[in-house]
Amino acid sequence: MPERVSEHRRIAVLGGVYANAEALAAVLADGRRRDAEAVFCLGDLGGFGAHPDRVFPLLRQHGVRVVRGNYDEAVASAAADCNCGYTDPRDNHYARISYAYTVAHTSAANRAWLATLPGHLRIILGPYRVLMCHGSPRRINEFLWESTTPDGLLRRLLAEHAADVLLCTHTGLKWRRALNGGAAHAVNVGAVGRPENDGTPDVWYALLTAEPELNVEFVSVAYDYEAAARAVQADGLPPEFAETLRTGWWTTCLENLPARERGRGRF
Amino acid sequence: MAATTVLTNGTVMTDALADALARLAHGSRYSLEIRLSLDAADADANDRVRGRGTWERATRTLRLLDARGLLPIVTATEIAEGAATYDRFRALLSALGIAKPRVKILPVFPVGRAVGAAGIRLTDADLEGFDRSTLPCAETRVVAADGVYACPILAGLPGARLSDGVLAAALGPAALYHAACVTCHRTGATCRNA
Repeated sequence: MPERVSEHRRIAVLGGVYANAEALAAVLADGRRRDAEAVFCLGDLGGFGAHPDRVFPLLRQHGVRVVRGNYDEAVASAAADCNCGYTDPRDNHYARISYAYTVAHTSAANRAWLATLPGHLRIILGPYRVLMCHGSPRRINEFLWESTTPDGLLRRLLAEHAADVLLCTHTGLKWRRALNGGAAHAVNVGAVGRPENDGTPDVWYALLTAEPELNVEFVSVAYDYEAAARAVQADGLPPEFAETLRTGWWTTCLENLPARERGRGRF
Repeated sequence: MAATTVLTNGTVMTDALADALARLAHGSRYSLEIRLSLDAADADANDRVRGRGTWERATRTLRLLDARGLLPIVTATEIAEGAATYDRFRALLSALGIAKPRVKILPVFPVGRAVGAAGIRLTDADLEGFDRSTLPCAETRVVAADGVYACPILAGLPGARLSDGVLAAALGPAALYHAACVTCHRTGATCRNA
């Protein structure tokens, strides 16, 4: 069956929900206020947070189209681990705790729904052919960091996948880059499930508008992070997860950060 | 500067060189990573392998780099200090006053005299149905004095050289001919910094 390609002028794109229902609700409300015609999520619905199952009704209620992330793929099949792509023992320690919790707190119905998610989505945004994925178009758990992803690789991925705009997440840190004199773009939309490692608890998503030239706006959203942190603590998840939500500084799963990005954080 | 990782034993670092590296790193849009190899977290055990005084010089280098915001990564093999290798090196870095300790533990690669003892190679059967794109050499390239290699472990070995200067040849597939290739195949080892 041919892939359905919808056409839009203004969209909201978010990534990395990480079971943070409080943040997701605030972001979806914000996107609606800003007249987004459609909302897309680039995957990883679980992880870190206390409410995996509370995320699903929010996504359905708002008609969010979702791309499968590595976490979603793993949870759907109850795989041995999250396939997050970590190699550091400390990162893997916290990833194992988070993943086991998420699998245990995701219903069978929601796991079945995760199994139906597409690996990629394509839309038309004004004059642009947009490709959405989780990590990269070639690997679901590839980390496309701003400081390690060369222009040449982005151009190659866009050409190989017949796209003008590449949207991804997985790193949890947002960035954007114009290529080919503005004719092409790569945007990592960051994450809404945990803050930006910048010392504020707010979370971020991206608004993309074809005017018709592409305007990419990263939007910061304040939400009830204290409620999310209390839930994390109440369910016995590591206190480091709650600390990150409250302080905005990453405390876990940060050993994989490149030097540039690691240098910006507190830990 | 492209995203670059420098591998060093950290024994000849000077203040001037550290300053130059910092200028390069902070002036580039991409990350400059500096990996410093040690064999043990204590001076005696390290220097038995690497030579007297190397631990002192290497740890001084770690401080010099850290003071300039370069966030060095200590690299060691997993047999260096047993299962506690990772924790011991993190503790060492913390004791040196490094606030963001970064440690990469590598598996043991059969190179040098160990190749003969290993006596194993990847076979067609090993690679049947195996996704070769998961191997580090599918993407990694190492620029050395005499050409381009697909693997830092095998840099300098004639059989591992992809190109002596022609870019197109450097992008070709790597031959999985060496005993060290078995290690990546079996362990999922990666050239990534973490």
